[in-house]
Amino acid sequence: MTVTSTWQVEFLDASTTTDLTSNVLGFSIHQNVQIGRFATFGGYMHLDNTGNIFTPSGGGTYQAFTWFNKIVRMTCDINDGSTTSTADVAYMVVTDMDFKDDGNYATVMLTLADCYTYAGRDAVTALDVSAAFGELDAVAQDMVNGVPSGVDAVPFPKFGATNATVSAFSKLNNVDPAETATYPIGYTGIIQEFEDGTARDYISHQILPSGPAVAFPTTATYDSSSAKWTLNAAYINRLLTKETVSSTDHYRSYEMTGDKTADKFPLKNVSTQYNTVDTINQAQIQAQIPASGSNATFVNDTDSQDTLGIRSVTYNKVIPVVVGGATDTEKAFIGNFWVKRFPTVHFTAQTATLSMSAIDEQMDSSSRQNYADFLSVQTCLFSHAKITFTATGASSAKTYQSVITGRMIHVSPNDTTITLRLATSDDNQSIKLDNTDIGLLDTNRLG
Amino acid sequence: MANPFDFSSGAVLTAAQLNQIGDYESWTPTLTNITLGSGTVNAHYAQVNEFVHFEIEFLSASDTSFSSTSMQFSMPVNYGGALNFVGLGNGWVRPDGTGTIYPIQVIGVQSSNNIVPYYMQNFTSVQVISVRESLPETWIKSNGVLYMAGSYRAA
Repeated sequence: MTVTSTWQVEFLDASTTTDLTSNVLGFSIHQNVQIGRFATFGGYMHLDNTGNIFTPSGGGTYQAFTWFNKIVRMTCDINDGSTTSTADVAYMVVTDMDFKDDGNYATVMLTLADCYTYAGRDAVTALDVSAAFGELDAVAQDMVNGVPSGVDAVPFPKFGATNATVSAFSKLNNVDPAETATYPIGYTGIIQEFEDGTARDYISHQILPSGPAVAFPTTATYDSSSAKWTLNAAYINRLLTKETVSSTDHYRSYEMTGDKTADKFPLKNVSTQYNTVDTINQAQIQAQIPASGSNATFVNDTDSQDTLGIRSVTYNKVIPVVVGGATDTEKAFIGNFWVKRFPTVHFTAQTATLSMSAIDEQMDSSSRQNYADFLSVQTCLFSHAKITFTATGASSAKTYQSVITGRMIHVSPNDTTITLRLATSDDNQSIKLDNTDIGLLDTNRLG
Repeated sequence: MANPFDFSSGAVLTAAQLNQIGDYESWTPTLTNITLGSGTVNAHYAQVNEFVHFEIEFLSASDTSFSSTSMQFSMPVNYGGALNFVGLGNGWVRPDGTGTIYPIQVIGVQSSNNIVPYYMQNFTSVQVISVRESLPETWIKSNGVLYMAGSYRAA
């Protein structure tokens, strides 16, 4: 049994959905996630303009289309013959349009960005200096929404709605025990002052590094009762492993194989690496409000440095809340995350490329939803991937336990290729009890 | 960390959780035959699976009142053993706050899941009797002291 996969490209505002799938010649999107930094997504889409339908004031159907006030929704339906699962692959906005016409063939190229691109445009001003925020996801959300009063909300387009667009960050794993302390280290922030910057700057440079934590844009939803759009984002705290939150299990594991195997994702090619790109053996951390006389805190793994040389990360304005200012203890808690997790070099899968036409052949009704989850942005990124293949000339297969830290999806009328960016799950997940892949003592990290 | 641990299949395990195994936490025992008033009870316990260890400090105050029957403190976690009356540990009591210190045996009552202090009473032969309003001597309410510690098998 196989499944069929069907793409839809729709342009949404509050009142209408415009399906332009039949006009799409192809598109590419890239969605990459990084620890301690708010992810940015981008992409390009080519539309067939041979009929001149998109040219502004060209007399065509879409001559007055409000491209910059729409949300571009890219979904993929996975149908097993009787049931369809829909994957929310990407929600983007148009940032640029380029019309090309060679006299014979006319196209429009749209440049796409994630919906939070607007949070990176205007500086946040007029911050209430006494504002106290919640956990890091709440700090980030409040920063975008302009809460409490005194903070300027990011001026998103309303996308045809009556009321202003807002942001919502959702937790994909549970509160770390450190968050329950009276003054949790790295999880609650009081930003008493800002230098000039955008909301996105603060999220990427101060808020997420204070966990550190992971956050990335996901979907956009319109609520007619409140007459506003909500731009959704996913938040994963420093434990990194997705969990069941409010009865919804966010953890996913995708098994990919070099051979064609039913219900598993067949690999087209895999790149493995053995280098120091992901190695960190020194962290330099300074808080925005350090304790009196507390200079930047250095955390070092000298054994790793002696072997590999120094590879460091630096954060200058983290926001751990400690009465009297952050001491070395609080700052070292953040620095230890990096140095304890990433001091060693792993031979690991770096990228994996898959073809959807090949995946379609291996999936059936039992794996339909898992396939859709793999395509959906929230359930794909920072999920576990188990990569198994036999290297050319090798006598047996080898398995790499990985985490999907990014993907590039290239869609054409003929086929869709997905190139995953991978990192080792040994470092990028925390131990999950009874899990055969990331529940291994002496291999996986305690959170 | 209270039992049962947060260790269920699929949970993400943290170093903080492991470090909390056996950590003491406070509980407020229900008192029987004592009206605490402004007296104080400081009670802490730790549990590792079925093993429970507890400590109770009882300090009476001027408005604390007692009964002519056994003073009792509820257990932090129900008793899970098979004995009707189980020896939990020991302690000491000083009903007048400054005078004689009496060693006590701490007994657990299966039927009520209560902790009951007993002291050795010397009649013609040694016998034990539970601590109460007038035993081992009349409580001077403003500064009477009772300390108990013990361990038992949890349900």
